[in-house]
Amino acid sequence: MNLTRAEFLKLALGAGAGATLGLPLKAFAAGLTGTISYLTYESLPTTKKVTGDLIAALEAANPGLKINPLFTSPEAVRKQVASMLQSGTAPDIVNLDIEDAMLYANSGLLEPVSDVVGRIKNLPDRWRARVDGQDYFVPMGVKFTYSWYRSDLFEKAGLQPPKTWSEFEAAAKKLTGGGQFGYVVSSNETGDNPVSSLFSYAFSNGVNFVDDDGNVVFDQAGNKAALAETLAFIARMSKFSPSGTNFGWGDIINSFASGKVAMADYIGSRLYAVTAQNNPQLAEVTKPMVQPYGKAPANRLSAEGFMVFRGSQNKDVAKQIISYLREGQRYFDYLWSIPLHVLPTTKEDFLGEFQKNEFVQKHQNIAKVVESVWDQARNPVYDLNGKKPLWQRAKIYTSTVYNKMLASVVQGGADPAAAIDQAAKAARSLIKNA
Amino acid sequence: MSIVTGAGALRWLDFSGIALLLVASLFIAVMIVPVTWAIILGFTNSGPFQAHMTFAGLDNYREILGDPAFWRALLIGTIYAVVSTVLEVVLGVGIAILIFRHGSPFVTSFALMPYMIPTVTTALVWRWMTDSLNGIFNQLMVQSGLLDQAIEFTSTGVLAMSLVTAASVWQFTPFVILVILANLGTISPSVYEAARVDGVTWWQELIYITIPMLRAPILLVILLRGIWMFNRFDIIWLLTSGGPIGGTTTLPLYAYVQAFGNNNYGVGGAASTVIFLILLVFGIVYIRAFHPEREVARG
Repeated sequence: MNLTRAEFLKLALGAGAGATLGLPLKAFAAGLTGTISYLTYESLPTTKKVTGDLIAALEAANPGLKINPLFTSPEAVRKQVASMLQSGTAPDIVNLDIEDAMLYANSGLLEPVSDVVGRIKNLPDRWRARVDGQDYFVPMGVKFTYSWYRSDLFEKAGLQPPKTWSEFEAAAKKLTGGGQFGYVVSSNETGDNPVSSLFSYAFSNGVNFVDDDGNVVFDQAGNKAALAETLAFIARMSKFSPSGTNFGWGDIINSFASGKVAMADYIGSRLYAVTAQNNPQLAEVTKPMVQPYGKAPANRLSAEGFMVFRGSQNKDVAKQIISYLREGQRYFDYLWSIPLHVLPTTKEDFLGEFQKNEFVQKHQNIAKVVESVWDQARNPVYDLNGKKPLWQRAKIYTSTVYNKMLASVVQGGADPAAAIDQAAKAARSLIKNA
Repeated sequence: MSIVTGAGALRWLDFSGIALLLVASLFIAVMIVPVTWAIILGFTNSGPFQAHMTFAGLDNYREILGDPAFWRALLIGTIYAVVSTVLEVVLGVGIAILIFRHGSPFVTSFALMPYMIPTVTTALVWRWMTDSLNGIFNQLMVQSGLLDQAIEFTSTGVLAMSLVTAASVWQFTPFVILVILANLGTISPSVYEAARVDGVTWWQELIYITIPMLRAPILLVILLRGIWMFNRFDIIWLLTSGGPIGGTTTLPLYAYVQAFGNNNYGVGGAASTVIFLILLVFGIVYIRAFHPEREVARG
């Protein structure tokens, strides 16, 4: 066999990556050709390295294949997709959230990926974007919302990690003062972090936002009362927080890592990872806890995954690449590159293969909290009690309707009931005009 | 004097034609196309999750004109533009005169430094400095006993707007200093010498000689800075994200949130077109009223 220098290097790289990842070359999909765009918001250096190695190995095994990855923020991925669609060039593989998948699918932009999803064993329905019997989203990972507390401050104050809202409020109050804050409330009028937190607390207080027929119900009867209670609770908690009117996800971490905040909520374990990187002493006393609940434990879950666009010129190749990334040891290598932040999509995988990692084994306290919230977590596209995913839920969730409702109560001191009425009106208008 | 003739002239004409074509193409690509695209978007239903845009007529304009948040953003944006422009011009002219009379090249470079710092860096530095948890401003104030507790600059509209205005004035005043310094050098020293012979004070010199001689550049700077501040997005977004409860949401932020927060490019495009029209009308009225271009030519 005659090989050019470039071909030899590519093959060697593939074999090297395969060996590194514990994979035989023959396990790779073969005969794939084309130039594939790959857009993802998982852009940690470790994830880029693992993904880059997997791509290099696949390209080496398929000389006619070229994958162009773009690692950036979720907002930038959405803008890139929009630009490509408007210029008539559909992207091939995109990694975003299930909310995005529902909105793209509703516009007829996605290719069904039921065959890929069908191969994933024990995948719970509540993180599938299944519409009219077809899946449009290959879940790659899930992130749970839970809370973090400072064990040193709790011990000093003689407190136990709070379980309910009343205990939570009492702890935050006791830990506030002298330049110290008990908790962080983010109430930014844009961005998904305030809404993520709001949904977690609202779910735990029994709030359903949109019913399975796509009707807005959060301003009706029991839901309205429960949501008003939730908003009032968050407004009270904001008295024990630094001003979070312009807080993004990063600002929540910064506040906690400053050492002046005793408790914070986050989705996934990134708050801990960043604290450990920047302030190892603080990380030693940073402990996870189940997010305190209103009526019953429940919280917001985030599901991220791949979608293939209908306008793609390489749909079949894109699906095979997704399968390649989604299966076997490669999948766990990908998840471990974002340790304990993005988790496997099945509980079996989480409690099984996923545990075979040094970081996971070392942080069993986080793993235990995740395990305890696993079954009670819900994604907004399914709502608290919904049986099917709906684009209407995604449409409202990804707008600024809920942000404005929360901000008007927390920042402006508005009456929760009035804020809910206004938000419901805006939500109905949003769905009607969609 | 040499005259270009024959083949040389033809080559020159060819070159100038190509150069003109390149400039025209660039102008169309970076000015005409985006503006036209934004105007077109304003008449469509479109967004990041839609396959195709559809014609919406004037619906988007009806929506924004009927939205109280739009009018609030217009008011807040106007206040921000007027206050920051006035402060930039007053401080810029004052500092430029001081530097011209008493400054050294080092002082001049130092005064111009904020303008050379990227806006994103300026915004982050101001945000960190005024942070209620770790900001140096609050630390110093509390430690020195001047404040009982840290000021939360993003907790009220007035405080947040003060923060945004202060950061903007800090960054953009050097532009005014630069323009005024360049013009101060063109005032003949003999004018001042004659005035001093007549016994004028420094104040009279400032009011009756310097300021009138700077009328042209000041008028031009007010026009430019007014437009730029009204259009300012980056520094406000990075400092406050438009909050609290819309307290620093100006029209560009309103347009951005409509387009990318609510995923509605149509309404965002309509809001951008309205901003363009407002500035166009302002520019025309201002130029007709003050004729800064005539003043500059005269100067």
